[in-house]
Amino acid sequence: MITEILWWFFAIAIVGTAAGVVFSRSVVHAAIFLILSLAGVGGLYIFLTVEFVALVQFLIYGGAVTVLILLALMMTRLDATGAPDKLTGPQAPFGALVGITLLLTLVGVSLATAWPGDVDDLPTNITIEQIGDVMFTSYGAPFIIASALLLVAFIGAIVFAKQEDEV
Amino acid sequence: MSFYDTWSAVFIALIAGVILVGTALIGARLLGPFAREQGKSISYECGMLPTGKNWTQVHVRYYLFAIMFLIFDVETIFIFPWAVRFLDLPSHAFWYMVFFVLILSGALFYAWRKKVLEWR
Amino acid sequence: MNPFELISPQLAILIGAGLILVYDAIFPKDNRYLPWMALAAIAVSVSFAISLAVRGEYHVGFEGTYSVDKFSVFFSVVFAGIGAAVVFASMNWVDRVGRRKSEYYALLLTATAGLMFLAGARDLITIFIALELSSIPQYILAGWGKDERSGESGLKYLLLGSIASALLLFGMALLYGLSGSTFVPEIATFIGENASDNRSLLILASTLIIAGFGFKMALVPFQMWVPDVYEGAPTPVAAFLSVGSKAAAFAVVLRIFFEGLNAEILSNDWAMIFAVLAAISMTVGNIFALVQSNIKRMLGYSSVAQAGNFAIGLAAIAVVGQEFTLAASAVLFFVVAYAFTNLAVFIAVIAISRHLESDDINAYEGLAKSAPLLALALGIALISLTGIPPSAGFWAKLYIFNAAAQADLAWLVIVAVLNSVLAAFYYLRIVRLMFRNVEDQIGSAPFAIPKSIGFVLGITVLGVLVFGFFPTPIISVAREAAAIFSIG
Repeated sequence: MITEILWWFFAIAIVGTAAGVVFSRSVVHAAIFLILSLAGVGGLYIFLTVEFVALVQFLIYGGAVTVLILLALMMTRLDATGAPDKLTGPQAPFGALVGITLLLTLVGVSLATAWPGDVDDLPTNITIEQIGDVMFTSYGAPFIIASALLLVAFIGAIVFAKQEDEV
Repeated sequence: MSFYDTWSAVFIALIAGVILVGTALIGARLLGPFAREQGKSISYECGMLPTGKNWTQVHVRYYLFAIMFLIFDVETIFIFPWAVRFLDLPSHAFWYMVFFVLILSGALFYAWRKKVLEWR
Repeated sequence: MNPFELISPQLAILIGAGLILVYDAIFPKDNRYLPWMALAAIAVSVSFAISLAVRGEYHVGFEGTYSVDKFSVFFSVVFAGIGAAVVFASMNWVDRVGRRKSEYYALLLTATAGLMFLAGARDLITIFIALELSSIPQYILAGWGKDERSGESGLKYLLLGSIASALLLFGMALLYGLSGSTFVPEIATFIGENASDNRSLLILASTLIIAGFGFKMALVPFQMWVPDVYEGAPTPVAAFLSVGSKAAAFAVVLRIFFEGLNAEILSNDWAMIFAVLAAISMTVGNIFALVQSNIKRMLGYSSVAQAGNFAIGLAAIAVVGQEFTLAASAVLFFVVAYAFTNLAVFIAVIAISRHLESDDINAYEGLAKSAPLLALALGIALISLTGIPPSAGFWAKLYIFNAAAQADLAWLVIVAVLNSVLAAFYYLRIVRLMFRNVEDQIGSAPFAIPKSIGFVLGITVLGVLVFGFFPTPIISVAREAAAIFSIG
């Protein structure tokens, strides 16, 4: 009973703030709603007892990524007159059609499948030790690829953002 | 259900925080007078009238430092599970992390020599 | 086997990329050696890959999520070759741009390493993150030119590529949620037992994965980014995009679909999806390519059509007991032939556009007079793209059509043949333009091409001709590599 209430709370929080991202009139408001949505996902991770992933979510998304988004917004919007942005263009009906079709398809397919496992089971507590075990044995290749990916992100940022004082 | 015991305290603190801040803001809105006037929304500059635009362009150095923070934050996050387990894992797990840290140190060295770390 | 040995080809390239950056950090003024360092890293990596292949049949590392078998070594060598060719082709252009040389080569090397990881990945997480490792440097590289169009193409590629990755990830998440494992063979066993209960979900997941990879493969209706990005990106980068990521996408799709989703009840569905997408891609690509006047846009649409040709191989599951070897070996041969051919075309375009300073097709008129060898090279490559003997492209198309015919897809073969005839119009139009006899044109004086471009152009055209006359060695290698998809 408690699990259901909590789950609905988090679900409504995530979807509601995500809707806020899409429908808010000012881009900065949308960024703040995004922070709340990501925090909601972090709460869902705690609810699923993977506390390490929740920590990662709050630290990385809530900490670094949203700072990045807000900085990029501030750097590229010079004409912040405060006028609300136009939300939709001429493609709005097609977008709505695609969105609704996707929603109906996903809901329909999800209801029609025989998912393994049961929603009422409380998951066993996943500890950071277990994540560490798996990350460096089975998923060692993605770990190494991740280091190269971080390198690429670094180079990309430097290439695009560095001042051209000297070559 | 020790899981709920631990986290319910956090949850209650969260709700309490939201209620506290919400009460303050909503109470101020409901109880206080609210008159929007042109003169009240000009930014305060010690009595002088402000000149020029109030939005200056943010320098790109902030963005570079934010990206570097993100990358090294992710590196820290990856080191956490390794630190807890590397003694019990086979030896190649240790060398994975050595490779990881070396690659990112190479990136840091490169950024240092390219004067990315200097502030203006 | 030590996991570091298993991924030693990719590690060699990654360490090479890091060393290039460090070298540039220590000696910023001395950047003549950077491309040679990149080539040395690729050479070391190829030697590691071949030593892995020689050493035994089949190695599995990281608890099975990464495997080194003939299939992955085949693709690793192909990707390393593509990387080396693009390094040669970009040497001249990077010197002209004059800035950020070390970053360019480092990004190119990491993209190559990402492609090589894709070849051996057997697990959904590894596949996804290797895909990101290969794509993100390409997004950055697409925006490398100094003009606005290059930045626009990089941005478009980034936005659309991210959406495609999101779709792919959702499909993978559905597969994982259903089967409880990200490991492709385990997904295969799960589906083998439970496919009939969950068909709609599996079809949805397959469709999303096809959508995500279809973007990379430039299949219709995921091809909208192709002409804009190919036109705006610097031509060496467009060459890498067109061959590298497309081949990698096909390699991964082979891995996921032929090894993972190969239950009979499911494979008929996605085979039909691929067949329809192949037919539409060929037709749409050829029709749009006919009306282009910019050579890079034309090559973009032509690669959409060629992706359709590739996808015929994916649809051609042999009727005999779900054995995919014939179709897979046809696709692998096509990969090699297409790599050589398309690289030759793009490198010739690099040399010509550098001299003419224009990408307009009409400027190619009378090229045979001012640069006869270059025109001949481009002509041979275009003939191979059309599929006329004796070129590698002819054999590639023949094998794919053969595989499709044996899988009862005669209608698809007819559509493909008609499309090849259609494609001949715009490929051979360029050949005709080049060899037209014209009087003195501006810029018709003979011009020299840089040695690096000439070298790699010679090698690729030679490959096209040699494999056109003697396709058998590559066919046998392809067949051995595809043998992992047979049952038992």
